[in-house]
Amino acid sequence: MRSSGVQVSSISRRQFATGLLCLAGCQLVPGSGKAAPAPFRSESILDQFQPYEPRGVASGTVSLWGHGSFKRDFMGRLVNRWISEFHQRQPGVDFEYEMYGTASAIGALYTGAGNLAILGEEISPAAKKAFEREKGYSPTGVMVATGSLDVNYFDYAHMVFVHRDNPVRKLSLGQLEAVFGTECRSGCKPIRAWGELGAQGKWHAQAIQPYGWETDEDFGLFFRERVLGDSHRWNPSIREFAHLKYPDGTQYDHGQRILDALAQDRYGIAISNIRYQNPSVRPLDLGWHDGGPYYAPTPETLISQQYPLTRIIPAYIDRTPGQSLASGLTEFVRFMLSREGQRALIEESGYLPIDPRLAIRQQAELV
Amino acid sequence: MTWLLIILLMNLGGYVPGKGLPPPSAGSPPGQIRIWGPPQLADVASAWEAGFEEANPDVDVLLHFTGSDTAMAGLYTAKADIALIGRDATDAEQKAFEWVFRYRARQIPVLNGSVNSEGQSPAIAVLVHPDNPIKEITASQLSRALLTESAELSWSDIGISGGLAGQPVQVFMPQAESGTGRFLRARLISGEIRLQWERITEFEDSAAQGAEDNASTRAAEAVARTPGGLAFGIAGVPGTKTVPVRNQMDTSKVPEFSSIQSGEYFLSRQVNAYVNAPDGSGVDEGVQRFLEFVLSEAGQNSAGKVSDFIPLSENGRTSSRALVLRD
Repeated sequence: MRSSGVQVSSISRRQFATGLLCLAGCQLVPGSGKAAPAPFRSESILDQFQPYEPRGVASGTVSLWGHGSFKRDFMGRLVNRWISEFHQRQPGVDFEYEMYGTASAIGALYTGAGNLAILGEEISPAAKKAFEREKGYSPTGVMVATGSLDVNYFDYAHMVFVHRDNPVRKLSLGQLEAVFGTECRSGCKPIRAWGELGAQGKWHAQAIQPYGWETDEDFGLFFRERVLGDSHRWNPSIREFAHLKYPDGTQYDHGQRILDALAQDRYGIAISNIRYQNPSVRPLDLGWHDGGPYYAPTPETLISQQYPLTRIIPAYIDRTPGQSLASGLTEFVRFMLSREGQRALIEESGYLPIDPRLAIRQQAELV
Repeated sequence: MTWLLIILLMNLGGYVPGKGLPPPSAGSPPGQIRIWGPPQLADVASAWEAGFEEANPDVDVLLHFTGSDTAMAGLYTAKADIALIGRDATDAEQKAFEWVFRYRARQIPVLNGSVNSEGQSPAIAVLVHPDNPIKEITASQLSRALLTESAELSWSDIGISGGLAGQPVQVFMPQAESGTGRFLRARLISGEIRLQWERITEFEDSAAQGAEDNASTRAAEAVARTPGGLAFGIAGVPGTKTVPVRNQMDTSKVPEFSSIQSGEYFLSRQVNAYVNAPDGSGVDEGVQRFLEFVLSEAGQNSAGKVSDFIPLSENGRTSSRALVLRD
């Protein structure tokens, strides 16, 4: 059952997404599922965020762990602008920069090596479970960014494609679960033929051939959590694709390989992203529930979380129940959620901002 | 903007984005060795602590035993010097370590798993109903039971003749993504997760502490009720028959002390110490002294007295010592 209800603490991948569903009533785009592909206008959304206003003089050290690597400093520009602008307003707060990667960030939080984990994707169930075992309570999550529409390394949204000749135009998460899984935790029944998705004529009896990312890598794990209810029982017939690395250092991206394969298979269905689209394939509109509404992926439907396969970027803190946070940490997180913080995010990264109403709500809960 | 940059660099200890982030300083604090692990290994670690401190009164061994996953986090955040776990590190744990230190955590086997003690890395036994006439089974046949696409796989399909030949194989196993399930898939089917789920029943551990608990026992209990079943479980459960597994050396073995210690039973497991040591280097001096004690006859015997873990063979101890001293 996909439920709703915004909460700042203990936020899992699905909770983050479904928590935002209650905001969908304040639609940023028409509910037709056919949002106009107009350029994303950042100024109009930035006006809806509150400017940062210090709540007194903050102090302490913020020790940042999270999204980055020794090969690519994914968030360096953004985080350093956050720090420099914040420091103008709160000069008493020091920073330690330990952004070694999402994989170590939650571990740093519960071992005490860091006090702010900025992830490059949703928290993994294993990391959350380890935190809870070590601390006896859940980590507190704050959504700080929305994954991009199609920018590499900035958590682009997952999209579902079919061959251009395919008559199917839209699917619900439940239908996707039935196609890509076997367990059907939401109560569906496995779907293996196009006729079960409403396709008629010569399509009716044709078997569906799924294509996707490697199921045990980060991309596959997101789809599994959001669509399969965290079931590891994928449809065994799925064809998985990994990056193909060439001797000259270039690579054939997994998403490109997936859609190139789909172009050769009229009866396929594939998880990928529009950045890899070719003329032979077409993305589907997706809906949270059977019967819709269904949405095309656009910046607006991603920010509003109306599009179901939107990625979210959280920051996590160790907030002991009943105790207040250090002032420096609280103020820095409030700054990331402010108009200035979200402007920096737009200008210094490939991410999209979060929904302004969620930002205001999260700021209020950080008191 | 210049003054902003100066402030920024002062606050980030000289870090410049894009220039690479130096790893945190690792190494045990003077006079201390910090060991993290799961509660199921706490007794063994306490025995090693007592034995080592008796011979090394100047060293304080600090134990923190809350879980295998938290132990690996202790290692990659430089809060622990040794992560002692009853399984192999996961890909995610090794990735976390490698992205911090730029080399992989070194794995040093320090004990064998038990024959059939829950929570003590028991060997995975292949079990059938007592009425099943099967005499032995090969790794290839076991892989077919997990992977063959036919939903109605019969015993004859995996090469078994006799009364069960036409009956379907129903597989019982610990949850495929548990530590036991991952180990099983790694050994039999190269880690493949796309199994033939229609004929597979999984069992989840009920333990809250992150170590393997009773899923292997429950899988065994299920086959005791199912004449056409095949379980990957724990040996010795009443109503089950343990099937010898033919290994790469072409000998058939069941899980027992000798076949596990010699390495001949290929579905047995090990307890590993993971340490922070760059490729081509020995481990930290204090950690080295501790691990040498662990791998000594006294260390191995003291573990055996407080648990069902099986000591390493002499060859196994020699191999592990080489990993400690590697330079």
